[in-house]
Amino acid sequence: MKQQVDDHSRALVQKLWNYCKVLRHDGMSYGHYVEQLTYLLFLKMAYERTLPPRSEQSRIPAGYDWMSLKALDGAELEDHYNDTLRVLGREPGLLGLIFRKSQNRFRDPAKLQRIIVDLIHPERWTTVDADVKGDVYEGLLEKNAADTKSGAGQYFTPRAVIAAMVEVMRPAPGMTIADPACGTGGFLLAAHDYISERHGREMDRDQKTFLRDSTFRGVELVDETARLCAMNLFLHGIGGADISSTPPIEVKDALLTQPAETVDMVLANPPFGRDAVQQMIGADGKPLGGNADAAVSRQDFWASTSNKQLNFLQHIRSMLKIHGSAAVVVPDNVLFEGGAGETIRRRLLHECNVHTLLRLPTGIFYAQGVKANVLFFERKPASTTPSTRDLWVYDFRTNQHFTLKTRRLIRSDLQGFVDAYRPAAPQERVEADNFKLWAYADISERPGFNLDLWADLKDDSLTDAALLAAPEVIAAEIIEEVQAGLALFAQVAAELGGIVDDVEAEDGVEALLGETE
Amino acid sequence: MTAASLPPGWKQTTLGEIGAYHNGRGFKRAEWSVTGRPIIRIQNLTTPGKPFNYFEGDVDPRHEVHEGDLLLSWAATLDVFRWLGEPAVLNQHIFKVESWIDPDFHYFVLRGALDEIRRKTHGSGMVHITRDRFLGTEIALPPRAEQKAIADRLTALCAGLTGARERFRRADELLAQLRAAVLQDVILNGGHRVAISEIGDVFVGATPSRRDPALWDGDIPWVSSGEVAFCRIRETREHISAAGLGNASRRLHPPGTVLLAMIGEGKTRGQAAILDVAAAHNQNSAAIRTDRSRMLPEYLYYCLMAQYEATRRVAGGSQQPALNGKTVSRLQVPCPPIGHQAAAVTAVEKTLAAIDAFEAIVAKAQDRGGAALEQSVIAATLRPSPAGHGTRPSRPQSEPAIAEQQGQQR
Repeated sequence: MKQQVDDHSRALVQKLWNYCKVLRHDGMSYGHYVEQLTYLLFLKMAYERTLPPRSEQSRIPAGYDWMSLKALDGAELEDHYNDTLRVLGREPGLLGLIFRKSQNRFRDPAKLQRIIVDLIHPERWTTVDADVKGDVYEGLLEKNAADTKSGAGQYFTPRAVIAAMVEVMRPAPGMTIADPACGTGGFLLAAHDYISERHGREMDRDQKTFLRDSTFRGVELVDETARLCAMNLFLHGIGGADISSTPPIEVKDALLTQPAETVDMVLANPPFGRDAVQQMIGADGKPLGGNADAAVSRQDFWASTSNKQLNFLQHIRSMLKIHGSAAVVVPDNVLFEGGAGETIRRRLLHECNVHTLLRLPTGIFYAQGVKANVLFFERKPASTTPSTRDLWVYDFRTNQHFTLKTRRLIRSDLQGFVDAYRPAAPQERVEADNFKLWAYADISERPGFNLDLWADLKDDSLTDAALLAAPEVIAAEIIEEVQAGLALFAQVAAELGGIVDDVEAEDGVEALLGETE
Repeated sequence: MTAASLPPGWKQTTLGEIGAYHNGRGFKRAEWSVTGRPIIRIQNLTTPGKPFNYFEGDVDPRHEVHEGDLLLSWAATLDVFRWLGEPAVLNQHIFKVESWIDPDFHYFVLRGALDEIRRKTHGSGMVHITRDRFLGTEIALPPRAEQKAIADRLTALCAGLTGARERFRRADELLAQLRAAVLQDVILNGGHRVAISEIGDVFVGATPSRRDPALWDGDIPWVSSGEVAFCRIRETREHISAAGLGNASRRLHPPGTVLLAMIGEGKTRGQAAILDVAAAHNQNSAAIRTDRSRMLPEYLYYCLMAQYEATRRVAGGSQQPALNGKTVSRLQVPCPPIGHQAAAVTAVEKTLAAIDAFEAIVAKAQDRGGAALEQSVIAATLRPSPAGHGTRPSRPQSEPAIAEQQGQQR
């Protein structure tokens, strides 16, 4: 029986992918495909809830539900779809969040109809395994991230890193867990899955309801991304019990105000780099990240700076309950930037027990050349003595060569780190070649309170040696890119070949193909 | 092509007859805001990433821009764009295109017409075109169904070209990485490291007084630090005289000497070069004469190239970053046996040359597949053909080529 279900799910996944390719040929990007799929799937699933056995009352305004779309075709369908998107965007709760500022991206209503009638309507999506739905959706999100021009890559933290972080942080039932830069929801979902798997059997009904409805909070700046996040959570069964009530995701700039409530755990990967954010224009034409140059000035902050990652560190500290814990991905410059950076590091190590730093390898993020780390800390009660005693640094950067395609980072690559961390018994940690500890006293004497500790250990001139993949690996990727580019040219040439006597175009492409063989 | 020779269903017409072009309006600085709808200026269309000013109030519907609208810039550059953002308002010198034909076909027709105009005016475009001339530009218009089919085809073709260009751009980035990785391998495989002082002598240069012309313009090549740019130095911009040289043996360096730039905020600091001629140099670079029984100059040169970033960090600190003779002497490089060094140098040079050649090919691909090719593709596909360029018409043949009323928008 399970085998049948698995086969069916796999077939479904394949269908969704195939359709994506058809639409891509029509000019629809992965991002837009995921977006449209989000609207349609959501409506279909909302409709399914009104059917037996749940037989719930419909939360969708009359006349704008799934069946009203299914009944139409052609220009009527197009018009009604546009109206539906507009009307639902004004609804409260999760419904409004999903549909706010939504746009129809189908150039051809016939394709829209086909997706509705052939692809989505025949399935009972609410019964499809949450994992399958989630995997497919996340697969599409990841493809979107890989589509580098869209810039969506900056929202994507490698799954392997998320999994390792969650595993050492050990979220438990009853905790409140938040991500103030939640992107498409990777951390929140991983934490949810971890709790379900480890504790699912022993959790009672109340605990399960708490896990579903009250555990997770996310904040995301960009409407489009928040939409994907809410849908991602929804497909995994989080926060969708009542689609009219407050969704678990808020759309706003988390840094603007002090958090209204504190939580037990924060997992986050704040967006990369000042420059990356400044160049990103959202689909609405507005620069993402607001006015990236402005220094954020808040009562609860230790220092005023325009460095986004430093500000997120301060913000996350404010989000934590006393004894709450956090794991945050930060770029190298957070460890050594002077001025406000020094003040912030000093205060962070005083008020929190900053106990572990994981140096991540390069080549794992969609953003080019990123050097990042994960900082683990716990908020402690106020005290005159510093809360940090020792900082353990795990080096997973030196001599680690990864790329996005030919040598991807997988969870087992980080097993060494998880083992060394000893999440259940950190007092039993032992030093090793790649795992060393620094005492607070030594750290506090360093000029600028510089936390780039590992860099001093090895001969400076070798520091960069760890950053690049082996030449053969890079060469293989180059060939892949050039071949793909030439294939596209060849496709264009083939299309033109049928109709063109324009010597110039043909000549150009053919000559190109000839030379680069 | 005359009207008589057009395929059936096609007609000869002009840009002015297939749509209306509405100029935007001026927005004074006082009207700029940070909330409301973005004001589209030409720079917002031509330069992605340029911030917008916003406008809070209402505007005439002719100045409203919605997603999918075509915009024609009419100043600085003459070009057509599709607006893909949120509802916005239009600044002057940009025209919103009200289409009476298939809007996607209209977009390509405009692309084609503007390419043609630019070609005729040798790229300047703006100088020679008036609104009337523009509106009077002749175009061949197919039936409605075919408009859509041609537009669809062009969209796919242009997407293919853009995709290809993106691939080549990425290949370029990877080639730079490959260069670095190859050099990095030299270091990783070089084994045991020694200080430069152990394998050679380090000298700091000098600059003769600029006030005394007798010290300059002689026949001794004199290297300034900007010329130390990862290259072999065969000639220099400036020369000094024998008088300017002073104590010869210490200041005139033989061919094969490796220079290392020590000072500078920009990219110069950390760069190296090898002398192919005897030369003197300024105090901003160090000259390293290697003991050839222990280290080949070329090997040292490639090590310094590989360690460029690390060398720059040696001076470190937020004050004037700079190396000096002492810190250069203490820099470490691998020092394998001479035979190994020679083999490494040969291998690196061969690989770097191959990378150079490949970079040239990719550059050519980018060049050939660039704007000019796209223009040709558009021009060719727009050319009337009786067989039709589309693969299947998706609308009934009876739909009019140009929408009846002027006011009929999408």
